[in-house]
Amino acid sequence: MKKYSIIVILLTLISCTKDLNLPFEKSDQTMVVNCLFSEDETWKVILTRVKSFSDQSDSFVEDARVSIVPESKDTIHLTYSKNGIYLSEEKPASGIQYQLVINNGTPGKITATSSIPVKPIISEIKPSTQNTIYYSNAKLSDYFVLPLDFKISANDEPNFVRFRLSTFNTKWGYTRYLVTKDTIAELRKMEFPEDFLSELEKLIGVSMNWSQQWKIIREIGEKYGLPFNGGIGIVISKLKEIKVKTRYEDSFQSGTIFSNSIGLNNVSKDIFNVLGEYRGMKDASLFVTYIPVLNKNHQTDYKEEYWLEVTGMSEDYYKYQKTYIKQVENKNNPFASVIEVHSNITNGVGIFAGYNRQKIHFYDY
Amino acid sequence: MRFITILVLFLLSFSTIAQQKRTISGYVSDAQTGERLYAASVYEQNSGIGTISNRFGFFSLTLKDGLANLKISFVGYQPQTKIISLSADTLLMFSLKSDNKLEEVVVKGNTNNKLADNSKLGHVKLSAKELAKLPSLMGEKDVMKSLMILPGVQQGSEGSSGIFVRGGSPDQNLILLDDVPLYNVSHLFGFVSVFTPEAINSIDFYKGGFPARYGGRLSSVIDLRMKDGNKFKRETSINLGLISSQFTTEGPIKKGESSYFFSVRRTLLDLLFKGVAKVAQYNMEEQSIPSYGFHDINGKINFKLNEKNHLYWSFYSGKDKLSFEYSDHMKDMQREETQEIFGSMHWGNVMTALKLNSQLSSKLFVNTTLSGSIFNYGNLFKGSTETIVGSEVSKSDFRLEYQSRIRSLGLKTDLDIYGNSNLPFQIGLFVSANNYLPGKQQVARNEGKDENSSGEISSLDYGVYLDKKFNLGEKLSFTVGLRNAFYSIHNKKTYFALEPRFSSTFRPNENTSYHASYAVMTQAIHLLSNGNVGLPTDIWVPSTKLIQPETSDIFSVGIKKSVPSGLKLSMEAYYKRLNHVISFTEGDGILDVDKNWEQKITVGNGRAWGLETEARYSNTRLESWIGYTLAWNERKFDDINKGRWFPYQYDRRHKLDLGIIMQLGNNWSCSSTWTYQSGAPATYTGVDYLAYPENSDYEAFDFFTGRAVDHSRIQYYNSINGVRLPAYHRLDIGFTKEWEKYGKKKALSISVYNVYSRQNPFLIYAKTKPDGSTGLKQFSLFPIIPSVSYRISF
Repeated sequence: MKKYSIIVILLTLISCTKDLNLPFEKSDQTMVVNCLFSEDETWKVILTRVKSFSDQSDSFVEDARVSIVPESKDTIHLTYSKNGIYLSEEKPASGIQYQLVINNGTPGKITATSSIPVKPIISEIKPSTQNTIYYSNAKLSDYFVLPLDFKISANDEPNFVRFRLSTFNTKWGYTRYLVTKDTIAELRKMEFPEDFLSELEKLIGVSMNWSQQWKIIREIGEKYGLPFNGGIGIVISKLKEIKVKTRYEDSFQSGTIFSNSIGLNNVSKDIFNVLGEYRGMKDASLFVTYIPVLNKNHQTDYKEEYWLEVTGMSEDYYKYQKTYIKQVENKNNPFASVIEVHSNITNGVGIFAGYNRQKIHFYDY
Repeated sequence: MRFITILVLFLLSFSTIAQQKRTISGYVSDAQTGERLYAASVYEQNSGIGTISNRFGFFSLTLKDGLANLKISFVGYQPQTKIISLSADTLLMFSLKSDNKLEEVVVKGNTNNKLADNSKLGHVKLSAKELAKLPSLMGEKDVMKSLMILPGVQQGSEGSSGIFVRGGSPDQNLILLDDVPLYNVSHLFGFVSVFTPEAINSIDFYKGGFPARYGGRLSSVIDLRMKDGNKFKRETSINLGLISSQFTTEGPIKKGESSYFFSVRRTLLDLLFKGVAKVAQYNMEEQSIPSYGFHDINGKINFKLNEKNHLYWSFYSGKDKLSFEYSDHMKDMQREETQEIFGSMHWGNVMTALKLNSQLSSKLFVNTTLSGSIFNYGNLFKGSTETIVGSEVSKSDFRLEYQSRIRSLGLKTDLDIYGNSNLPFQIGLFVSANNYLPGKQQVARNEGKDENSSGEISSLDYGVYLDKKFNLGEKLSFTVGLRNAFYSIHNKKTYFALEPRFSSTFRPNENTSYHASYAVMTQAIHLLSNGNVGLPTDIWVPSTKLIQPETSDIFSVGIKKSVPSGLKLSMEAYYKRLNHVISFTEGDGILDVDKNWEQKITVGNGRAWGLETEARYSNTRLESWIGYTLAWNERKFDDINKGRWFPYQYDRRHKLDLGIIMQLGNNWSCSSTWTYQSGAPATYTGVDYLAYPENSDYEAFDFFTGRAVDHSRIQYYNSINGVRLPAYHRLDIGFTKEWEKYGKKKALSISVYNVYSRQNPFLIYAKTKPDGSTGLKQFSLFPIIPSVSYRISF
């Protein structure tokens, strides 16, 4: 920013800011429905209400009657769990149209309809043998990337898809970190604050990956005013490190992914999702990040697996995801136009939509 | 086509020449400069028959044999009379002397009723003299800002020179300089326009009742003519102002026949920037030098081939450039590193036009124009780093270049065919080949290189227009026109547009007239805009196979009344319907046009309606006006506001303008304008809801701070543009003293912009307050700004 300092100073001389007292819109208690469903999980519907900025917390809807009406099958009634969550033990199936019906004693039934779309077939997946530079319009920055070409096919109707990149590091991916009673005891001996230790105790039994341990411990440590050096760093060093054979989902790291081919592209400034639509079969071209971490010998001492996450989305889910990214990416951007997030809920807002997901291991570094 | 053929035959039937009549044809020009005068009245006083000179000062008047008592008049000039005996077709040249005397500048109202009769509602004509009277802003008189004080015309954000006419957007204004379209007409991010006032001879501004010779935009036409240059004597002027300085010279090539005009204007801000930066960073290892500058070059040559043929060549080039240089040198025990970065952003127009005026007969005038125009926007960001560790030297460099461009080449022929009615039948043919490059980006780092481009798109626009005015008795006249245009895009799709035009005037008496007009307009070029600021990064794109041309229907009715005391009143109501208008859905589209740009556009409709009133009073020392507009302006897109109509961002319910130009004596004059606009509509919500938890691994960052933002919540909008920002109002005042000494004309202008330092909104943004609540912050530009400029002519 120093480069622009003089321009900023000159602008400051001729410009000024002041607070405005304009009335914000108030909450109208519209119901919010969140339900994305696939064959892999049982039914789960979350009901809340829209919230004014001045309200402290969300208002959960606890007394609604929530039903899923499958096309030519028996109605599924969901039961209330907690925090506005309604559950059923049944799983959705592909190819069936589902209608969500919510009654909560107010006039106007809340409804929505969706189904799980046809699963996209990925074939002829060919990672390039050479990396290249990709310049992202979104971030105005360049990235070392690996080009990835493949074919995607489904039916001749409009199909919607989202691609994400995951990497699995074989050195850190099988390592988990635990808070144990020994950890607490050691820290107590070192006279760490008791209120900090009692909060840390709640993590006993929680298995964390490499990045989670830093994030979680740092958050708690900062809450109790621990310095990084001589505080949080010591706590981290006292965690128990174990090796596991399971590939935990949270051990996969999100990677940046790009596309600029027709019909497939990043949305707004986002660099973690490529969204697109297609009919029949389509040649697809992606660029995935390629950031090897070299050791002192200019070599890697681990194997990194590259996975492509392919999500077949219903049209409503696709629109919801796209508009959501647009809105979030432009929060506080005074130059951006207003982005309304798509909703398919009649008499409410939110999303009720089906999807399917697959992960394809396509490359090892 | 059959319809057009019948219409042509019908119109031509009015042009049959009667045996007993003779035609006087010729030109009306300024006696001092030789500049041709457009819209001068040539009037035979006995018969009451008259005509108006065309845009090249040409007139043709057919009268019966015998004595003709001619009166030639033009606003701001002394009328001239001439009695001639007509026995054959006659060619006449009239030179009118200016009314103005330098010793005492007298502002005269339009006292010529005949001229007033010929003006239409929705049409404003400003001559160079009228432009010169307008108040200056930071020492600059601005052509575009002079239009903003008219009813029905709004300005965008503070400082912007983009104008919004009757519910239209800035790209819906056809801006012509010597018949060549210009695309970005702003300097200094919109604070001043590219038009050097001293280079402009006249402006025709239409916001309704469009003649058929204009097309390609939906909302307005701003037709500017450059000065031809003084045909009798050489004149040079130098103007020194705070924003820019200017040098103008004009004079005869061959006295009384051919002339040249040349003007160059340049900002001094870049020198100021560089000077301040160098002083501030003197003797520092790290240097950061920003710079901003703009320039305009206008040139014109008119060459008389013979009495009936004239050749004009005009040229304009303008450019803005914002740049910075950064260098840093670091040295310690282990290594030495030198870093150099250069960044620049530039945009500008270049245009040239070659015109041939030919009087083929006393009743046939032809103008043929060959023109070329280029609009360029680009930025360049490059840098290098050299690192020395021991005896090892390593270098790395990068380069990022972005370019967006429009090129067009046009050819058109306009024919004015005069018949017995003395009202010309105008017909024209036009063709324009356009090439668009919406965006191309190249990035290189050391050896690697990558290119991302929207690809070039070519289009061919061509067609024909017809325009004819009819008088039905003494009181009723109407003009019918038809424009028939084809827009052929990239050899893939051709759109056809048939645009009927109609306007009529009923004049029950000398002082009152009723008007009605209807026009269909088509626009096959669109501006992808990043909000309402009007940045040069806004990108022009053509219609494509997927994106249809925008169309509009404009209907207006009105009344004009003149009171002999010098008061003129007008009132006009309009309704405009817009179809296929586009909006950039990405929200943050800066530098974001690629192959997929068509998918980032949503198409919808618009409607605007309103009432415009104006009262003007003038006498020998004073001109004053008050204008009020009551207007509505709405848009509708399927995927915005749940498909419902919502106020457009330029919807302003009320607009009030007050102005006064006054002679104070002792060669001082004063001008002042006050403008008020209702607040702009805006969308700010205070309500949100939980996003689906699946989005929790997603990351997004704040526009200003770059910090991670809370993406777990979705903002909820009950309505779009449901909030009104504070109103915009501003008072400007200027004083000018003009005098002559030792044969040199001098002028000193002192002006104050925003006299009471009103903080008008430029940007509004949401901000979290210290107490955790969210509030709105207004960012304003330009408080009170006094300025001074000095001009000398010799």
